[in-house]
Amino acid sequence: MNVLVRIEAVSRVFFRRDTEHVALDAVSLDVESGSFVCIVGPSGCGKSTLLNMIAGLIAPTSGRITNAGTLVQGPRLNVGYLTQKDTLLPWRDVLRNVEMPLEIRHVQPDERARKARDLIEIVGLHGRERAYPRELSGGMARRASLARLLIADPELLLLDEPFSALDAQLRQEMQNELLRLWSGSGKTVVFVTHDLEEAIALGDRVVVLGARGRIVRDEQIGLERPRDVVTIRRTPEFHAIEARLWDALAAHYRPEAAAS
Amino acid sequence: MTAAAVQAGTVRGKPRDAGRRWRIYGWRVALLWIMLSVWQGVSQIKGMAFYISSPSAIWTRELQWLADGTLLFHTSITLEETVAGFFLGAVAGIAAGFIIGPQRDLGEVLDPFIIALYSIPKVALAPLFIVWFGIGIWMKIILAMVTVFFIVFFNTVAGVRNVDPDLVNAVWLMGGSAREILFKVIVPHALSAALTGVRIAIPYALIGAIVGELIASNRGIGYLVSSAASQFDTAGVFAALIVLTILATILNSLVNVVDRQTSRWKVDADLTLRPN
Repeated sequence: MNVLVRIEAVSRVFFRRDTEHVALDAVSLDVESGSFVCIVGPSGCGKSTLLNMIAGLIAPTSGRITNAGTLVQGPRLNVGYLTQKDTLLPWRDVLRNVEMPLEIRHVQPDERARKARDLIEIVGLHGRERAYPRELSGGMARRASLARLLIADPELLLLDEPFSALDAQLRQEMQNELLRLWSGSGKTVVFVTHDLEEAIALGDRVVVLGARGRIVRDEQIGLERPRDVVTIRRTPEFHAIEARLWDALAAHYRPEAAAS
Repeated sequence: MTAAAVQAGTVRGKPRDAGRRWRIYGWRVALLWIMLSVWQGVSQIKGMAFYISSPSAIWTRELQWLADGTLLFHTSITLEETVAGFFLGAVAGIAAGFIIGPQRDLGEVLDPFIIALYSIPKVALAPLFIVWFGIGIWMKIILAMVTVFFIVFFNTVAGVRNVDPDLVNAVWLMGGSAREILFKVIVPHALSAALTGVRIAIPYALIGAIVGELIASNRGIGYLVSSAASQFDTAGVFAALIVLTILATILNSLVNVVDRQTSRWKVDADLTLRPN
């Protein structure tokens, strides 16, 4: 398999009131093309910082990140990014929000409207094209965000705790939705979460981060695909993996890392 | 519509609500009738008519002004000043807001000066404007404009500066250029804030025009009020004030119409729950 994203000895230091704060310390990680990689860790371990650097939103203090062989120096058109918070533009309806990435790529209006309608249908928002973000429920807003994420057909999807604001049932529904949309697409996914179960249920591979982004465990998840995130959790294989990873997570969990 | 009325409307449903609304209208008419009757009654007391005139005298004056064209003439002058001042002030406020808003350093340099100018009661500027622009229509237009300008300007600047950075990042991450971020995120956001300012400013434009007319003028509703008062013509003062009240009420309901037309995406519970 080809490596799509290569993270080489990346560190990131923040300065807060003249004190150095090391968010990530020499992290190295390769993400294979077409794989679904979940990054798990306690809050404050630097997993969102890592994702922001892959996206090109912030630059590493040292080390380098390459995407498809070239150095990441800013946001790229082959990357889609979904944050925990909804960032739909409130003055645009669902259709025009979903069209947005195609507008940036200067796609013709009729073409982008057609594609947007298709994707709105795929994510199950049919009939809500003309609704404004304020008129959507949390789940519907997530679906609209997913449609916007996918419309430009990005090669790499970066997801930062995308479902953590949803209630448990809706979260599982959206997780299945994501797997359905991803399977067979050939897209590469880097999914950041603090929820170990979510990581195992979704990923081909789970990377557990400790303090300062140190990789404390990197495990391939051999669970069958296609998966249903609800039933897969009931299998003994799932429990075995979870127990193993939980021990790794707990052993390296330091409260001060979360507090800083 | 008060919040309580809205709640009652949605919780209790239509039929009851309709009856309640008619009752409210009925009470309003009754209250008006009572106030006018008391006014008319008190005005019959010897000497009182000089101070408070009487509804019947005011009504007669109103009809007389309507017939001889006084009403239309002065109202159109005041409206002209209000609309012109409002329009110029709103355009200037939005333009200045968009120019100064994005430039933090310039904004910080200008901040104390703008606040100082804003803090001056605009009425106090009227004598200066008379020196500069004479006592004609432009003095009133400028006074209305200055009042409107600051309201729209401050709202626009706030709109430019308070754009949610997450929205900016989202568009940036999609590959949007600085230009696209400006025109697809910052401008629409600031424009909606500017519109809020424009909406608030509508009644203030009228205040600016009227104040100008009160201070120095030979036409307009403000002039009608002050000239009637200088002749101890209480009926004339009240007649002019009533025209002014009607004008202000129309402008205020215009605000609500503008509000509903421009802000569907930020529709509040207040609007969605409004009965019928």
